[in-house]
Amino acid sequence: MAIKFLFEEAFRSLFRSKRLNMISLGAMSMSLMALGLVLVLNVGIMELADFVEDKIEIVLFLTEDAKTDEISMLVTKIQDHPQVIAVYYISKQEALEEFSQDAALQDLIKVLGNNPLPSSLRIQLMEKTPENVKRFISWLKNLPGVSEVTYGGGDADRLLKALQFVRLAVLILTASLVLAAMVIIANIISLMVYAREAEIDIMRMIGATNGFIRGPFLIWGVIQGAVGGILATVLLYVIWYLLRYYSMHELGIDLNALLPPASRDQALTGAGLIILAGCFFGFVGSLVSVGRQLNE
Amino acid sequence: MIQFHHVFMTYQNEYKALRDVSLEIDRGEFIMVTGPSGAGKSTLIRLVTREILPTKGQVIVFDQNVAKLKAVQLPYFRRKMGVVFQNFRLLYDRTVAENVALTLHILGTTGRTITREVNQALDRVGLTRKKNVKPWHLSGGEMQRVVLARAIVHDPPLLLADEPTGNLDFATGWEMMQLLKQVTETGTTVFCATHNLNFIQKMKKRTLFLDKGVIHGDRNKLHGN
Ligand SMILES: Nc1ncnc2c1ncn2[C@@H]1O[C@H](COP(=O)(O)OP(=O)(O)OP(=O)(O)O)[C@@H](O)[C@H]1O
Ligand SMILES: [Mg+2]
Repeated sequence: MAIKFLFEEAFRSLFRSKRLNMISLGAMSMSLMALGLVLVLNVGIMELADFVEDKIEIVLFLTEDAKTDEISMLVTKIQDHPQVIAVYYISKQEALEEFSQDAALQDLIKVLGNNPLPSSLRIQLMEKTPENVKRFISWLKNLPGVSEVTYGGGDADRLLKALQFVRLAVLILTASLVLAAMVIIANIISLMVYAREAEIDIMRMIGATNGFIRGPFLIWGVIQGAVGGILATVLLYVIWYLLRYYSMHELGIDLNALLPPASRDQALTGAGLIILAGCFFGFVGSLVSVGRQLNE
Repeated sequence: MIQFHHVFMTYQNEYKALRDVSLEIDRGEFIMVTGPSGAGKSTLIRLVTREILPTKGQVIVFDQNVAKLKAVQLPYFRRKMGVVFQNFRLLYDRTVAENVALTLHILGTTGRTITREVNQALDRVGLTRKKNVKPWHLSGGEMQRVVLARAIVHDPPLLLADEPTGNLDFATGWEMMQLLKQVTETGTTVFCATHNLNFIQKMKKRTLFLDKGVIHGDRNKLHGN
């Protein structure tokens, strides 16, 4: 069967029932827009999660009387641990400098007279799973010259969990929107097949195979999906543009500056993904519906 | 080419459209079937195209029992026949040429071949001038000729014509009959149903007389009147 003829037939149905086409196109682009939002959110949440995870470190406070060679031995020992990525040594002096960036604390330290801050080691772990961290901390506590070990994971864990939850919720919402769009497409295909029943009957009488009859509907579905995807990305871009414009003029914030440097490439990939997803949903929607209707 | 063995056809409403019909049609034959309205002529043709299945008995077409045809075989079975439907069954949103080309598209023909064969078929039925016109701008006789062109464009071994002169005046109907005659000359078997006895008489072909679903006579042209 010639591809050209298939496409001509598909376009015939595109231009025949304009209202039905509008409805399915609307449903398609709406759900794809939601999908686009999920993609954006997903990237944002992942970046945030990475950022938060990076900030989680184990802090080991050294005893007041720890000597330099003791400390360097300890550092070597920790560095040799297979789970450790990096160890930073923060001296009493550095700790004080870091601390005194805050004006109120500065005053406090002045009152105290001498530097009460211990020197410490900051340790980055490879895998920050709770068990891993726990095991590592108990190992640290048995090393000589260690006064205390703290882990800033509790709050971060809760934040990560919340982010995961948001991601899941948005994902479920989108899945239902996509499903709804597919159901709408399937039903509209049913209507179109129904409207063309006489024509399909004639084609069958002349010797058309199921594939010949199905083909144009499948292409129709893919075209709907592709156009819906393009519409969705354009709309998303317009929304982003308006948001940026608004925040620039009303708030004086350039939203572009907040984006990670790779986001331009990611936006293109995202747009491609949305359009591809549209084609796929359109294809599946029409395949299911035409298949069901032709198997009489 | 076509054999009926004690065929009965009963529609859902218990109406017996055909009763114990047996017949045999050879390759290359021109056979006509006549009888009053409701006699079962269209039913006969619909059994051959396997639009319907016999309630009892066997219908054999191209040496195949139509009841045994699988769904996937059916399209290929139908491609070996052309059908002129009593109610035209044209696609009214397509031009004459597109209607005729549909048969070839279904067969998988592509490109220039389609244009050439469509032009040939339209030339055979004398409709070249109306090539790019939509069917509803055509007269009944012209529509009938489009249907014929669509049915013969792929030179099928079997042509079924159900009331091809249906709404035509005598002269136009007679032209249609001449076209069908030309089709047999290329070796195609033609099976034509008509209630118009004028044509039966003038054609002098083998004729089946059908009434209330029963064959009352099978007059061969060789036997004369
Ligand atoms: N789909 C159907 N359901 C029920 N009865 C039918 C159906 N098709 C035909 N019949 C009946 O079967 C009988 C034969 O019909 P058929 O169409 O074969 O007659 P015909 O000889 O072609 O008539 P005409 O010359 O009017 O076309 C008629 O009485 C008709 O009412
Ligand atoms: Mg009839």
